[in-house]
Amino acid sequence: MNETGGHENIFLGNGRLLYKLTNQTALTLSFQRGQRQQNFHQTHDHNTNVGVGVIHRF
Amino acid sequence: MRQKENGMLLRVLLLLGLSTLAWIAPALAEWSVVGDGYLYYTDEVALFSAVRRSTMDGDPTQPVLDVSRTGVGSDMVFEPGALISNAITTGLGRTAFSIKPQGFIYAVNPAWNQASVAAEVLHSFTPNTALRLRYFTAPDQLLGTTEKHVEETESFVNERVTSHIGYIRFEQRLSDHWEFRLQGRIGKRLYNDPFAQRNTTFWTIGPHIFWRATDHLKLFVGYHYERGLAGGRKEFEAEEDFSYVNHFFAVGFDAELMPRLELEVDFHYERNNFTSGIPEDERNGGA
Repeated sequence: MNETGGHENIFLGNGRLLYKLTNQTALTLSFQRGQRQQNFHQTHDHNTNVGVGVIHRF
Repeated sequence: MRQKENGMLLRVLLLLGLSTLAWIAPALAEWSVVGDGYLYYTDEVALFSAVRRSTMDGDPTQPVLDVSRTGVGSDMVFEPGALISNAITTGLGRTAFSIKPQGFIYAVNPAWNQASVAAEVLHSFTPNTALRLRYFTAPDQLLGTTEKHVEETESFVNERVTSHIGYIRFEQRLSDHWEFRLQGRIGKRLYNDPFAQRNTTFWTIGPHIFWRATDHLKLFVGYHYERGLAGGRKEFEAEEDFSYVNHFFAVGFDAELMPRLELEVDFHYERNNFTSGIPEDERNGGA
């Protein structure tokens, strides 16, 4: 891989719990954590997302 | 201004469509309608949609604003979505049609609201062999505000992008436990006028392997190679070139912990190697 030119590394982890409330409806709990870094900038950028959700089959 | 109006119109149409789904569901008796809604807390508005779409089946190379200029802050985001599908069976096999709208609605930063839609055809030649075709678009998406040098003056301008992507995926079940998929993509990223030199044409190819270890545990691994070529790279006196080679790796599992409880976990690593040959471009080691 190109070590001398500009490059970017991105790491990301996802986790989701899904609970089937009924045969038609499910509830979710989600977590995401991402990190980005470019070698031509000094900063690390992080992103964390936490969410709850519902899925329903009509 | 026209882009802003178009973006607002798309968002209104998405909301209207989703809110009427429940109402029209009985009329679509032969169709399958699945609706979903999520409420997220995010600590970085500028990266939220890119992280949400960074899946093996999604759009893992969605552009973001230059990461040194993020820091918009936190927000609550409502993410409505739906999957409307139907299938027909003919002598050539079973064909499923689906359409999947999705939205991101920000509570504190509505300028970041956006919508996308995917239309898909999945044709199963046999129970073990299928071909999937998909068109995905995310129009007029705000990436952020960035510096723009015009005639020796600096100004801050909104950077926006519209993505059009076609997917093709061959899916082959090898046994009761193993499945192999080969995915290809071809797409365009079209930026607003001040950033038109970043317009990018890209293509992707990569394999996915699934292993059903037990009735309650499925593991997967995938890799994508992607080449993106920025339209402005050959311009006279070009100052930047966003062309790249991207390597994407993903690994994960789906586990049924209890009869009603499932856990999905996956990890991704992406490497963007910028291929600019312009001496003063920071992506080529320039200042």
